[in-house]
Amino acid sequence: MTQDSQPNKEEQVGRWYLRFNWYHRFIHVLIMFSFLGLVITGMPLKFYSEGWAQVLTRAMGGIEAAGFWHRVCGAVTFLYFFLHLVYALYYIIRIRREPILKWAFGPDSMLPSIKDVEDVTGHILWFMGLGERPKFDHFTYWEKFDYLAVFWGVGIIGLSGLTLWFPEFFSLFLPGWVFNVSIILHSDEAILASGFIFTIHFFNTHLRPEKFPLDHVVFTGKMSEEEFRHERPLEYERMVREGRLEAFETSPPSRAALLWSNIVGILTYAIGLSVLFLIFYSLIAQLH
Amino acid sequence: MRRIVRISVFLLLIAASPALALTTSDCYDCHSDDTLAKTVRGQEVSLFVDEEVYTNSVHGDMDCADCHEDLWDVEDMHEEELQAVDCGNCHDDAVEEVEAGGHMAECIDCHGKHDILSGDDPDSAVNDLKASSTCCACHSEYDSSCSYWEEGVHGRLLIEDAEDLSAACNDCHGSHDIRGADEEESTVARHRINETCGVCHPDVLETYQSSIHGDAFEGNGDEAPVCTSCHSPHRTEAALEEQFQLTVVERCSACHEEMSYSFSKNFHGQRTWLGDAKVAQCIECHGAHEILPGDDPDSMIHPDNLVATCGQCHSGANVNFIQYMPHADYHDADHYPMLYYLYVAMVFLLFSVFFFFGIHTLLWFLRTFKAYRNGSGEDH
Repeated sequence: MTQDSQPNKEEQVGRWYLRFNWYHRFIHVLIMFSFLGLVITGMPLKFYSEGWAQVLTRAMGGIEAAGFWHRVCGAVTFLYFFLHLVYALYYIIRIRREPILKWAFGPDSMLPSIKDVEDVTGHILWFMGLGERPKFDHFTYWEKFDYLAVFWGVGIIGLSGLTLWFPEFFSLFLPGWVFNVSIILHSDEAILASGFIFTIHFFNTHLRPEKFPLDHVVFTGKMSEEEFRHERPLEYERMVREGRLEAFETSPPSRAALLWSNIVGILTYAIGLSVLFLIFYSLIAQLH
Repeated sequence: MRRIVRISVFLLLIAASPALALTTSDCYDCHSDDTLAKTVRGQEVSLFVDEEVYTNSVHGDMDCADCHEDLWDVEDMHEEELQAVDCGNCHDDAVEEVEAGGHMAECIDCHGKHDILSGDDPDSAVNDLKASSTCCACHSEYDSSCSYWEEGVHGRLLIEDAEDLSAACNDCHGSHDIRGADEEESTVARHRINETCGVCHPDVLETYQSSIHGDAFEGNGDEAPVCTSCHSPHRTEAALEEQFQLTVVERCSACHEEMSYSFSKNFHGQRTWLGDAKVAQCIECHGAHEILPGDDPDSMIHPDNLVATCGQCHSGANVNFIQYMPHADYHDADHYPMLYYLYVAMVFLLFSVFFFFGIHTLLWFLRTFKAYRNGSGEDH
């Protein structure tokens, strides 16, 4: 590779390594579909007075049908949340190779560490041309933020959503004003979550120039050696040092897998960015 | 009584002077010809009188000259133009009422001419079942009241079921003393409409009269809602129909604008906006005709009754449940401080996240974009 050429992330030659196993990928697909479903069926309620909200509701077969699918997607959300907790527990008990505290603050954990604080600062300085680009490990700080934000989001939106789904049950032990609180939490957190996913997550993970138009790794699970060394040099060096790299080597992604990723990705962009436009449009219109 | 006296006098007159007037059979010599016609302003007008129809009409026993007075002293051919018949000779009460009310129609416009039947006869043009088409012959040209009425529950019952239990035009507007709604004496004037509707809906009227709206009407009638403030007068919607349920908020908001705004800010209101008629609108919680203020022990929204009121839809509603505030407005810091500060905190969170990541993402983009444009591959 010459000095001027760009690393070609779609190049299907060279070595490839497995970053996400089928379980990771499956959970990500569940998140995508349920999240899009929740956004499409839920946003009309938030922006009830807008024309598009009424058109969209009619298109979904009315408010009853929209509510039904919203609850189905909500149930899928609780399902993937539960499946992930099971996996995390399994990982901690069976797969973890280091003592628990060392693992928890080490590079293979999703928990924030001192290095993440240094990376945020270093990265921003690098944006402004004031230093070297930080070297990242298995999980970058923005990936950890995305991950932990789902915990926060599912916690806030999920619990408030449950109280609104089963108000009679929750009123057995909670005062009714909790439902007023839930309405605010549920709808404002939904704006935060969808706004974040459809702008920040889309850009940081998929749309920035190195990844444009899509980072396939979350669909195929595979990343090229070039990408690995460039994106996560610390992890790469560590694995070479520890002699574990070969264990993760895999075949290049198939054309079918790439095609499938592109189709799903582009549809998701289309839905996400359209909803984003409608939210912005409505929020601005409501200011006047 | 007066009419009978008059008719008797006419009959006596006619009996006493047979030689003077044309007899009815003389008239039929010409007028039984169904091609007999004259031309008025370019329009052909038939002069045919169907003997059978006339004989069966309510006036069938009377002679032509009883009404066409200018035939009294005619022995052979009458003049081409006869004077208009003055129905007031017999029906003076009705004519006086029409004149006082100011309705522009002539007697014949509603009742017909030689085919007049008693109002009780279902084929009569002024029978309840037909009255509306009679009125609408003119009124559908002036306004939409007729087409609205046909859409409404009154019209549909009368037209589709052909049962005279529902209100036709004359039931509300009267028959002869028809007046504009802006006139004091009108049966459909604001201060009289409740009584007019109450003729058929006495229970509703009684309930309304003991409600806060009825009270307000007694006190200061100008501001209180009357029947037609909530129920469109011609397009009378059936209250259980979706169309009424979905527009009830709009109706109440004509006076209770703030309440309808805060209603929309909450779950029931949002669902209503999106076309859910099943969810609670104003009347499910406040009642319809029986609306009372919240501090009245009989009010549906009195704290003692709320469990039952919410329980209509939410089976299992309890004392906790009713602490839900269906009109909460989180923009209103004075009345809902907790919700307001929660909302402010959420907005703060939203702005913080987007402020940090917005700048972060923008700088990142600019940095990588620049590196790519310069073609220095390893600098990103």
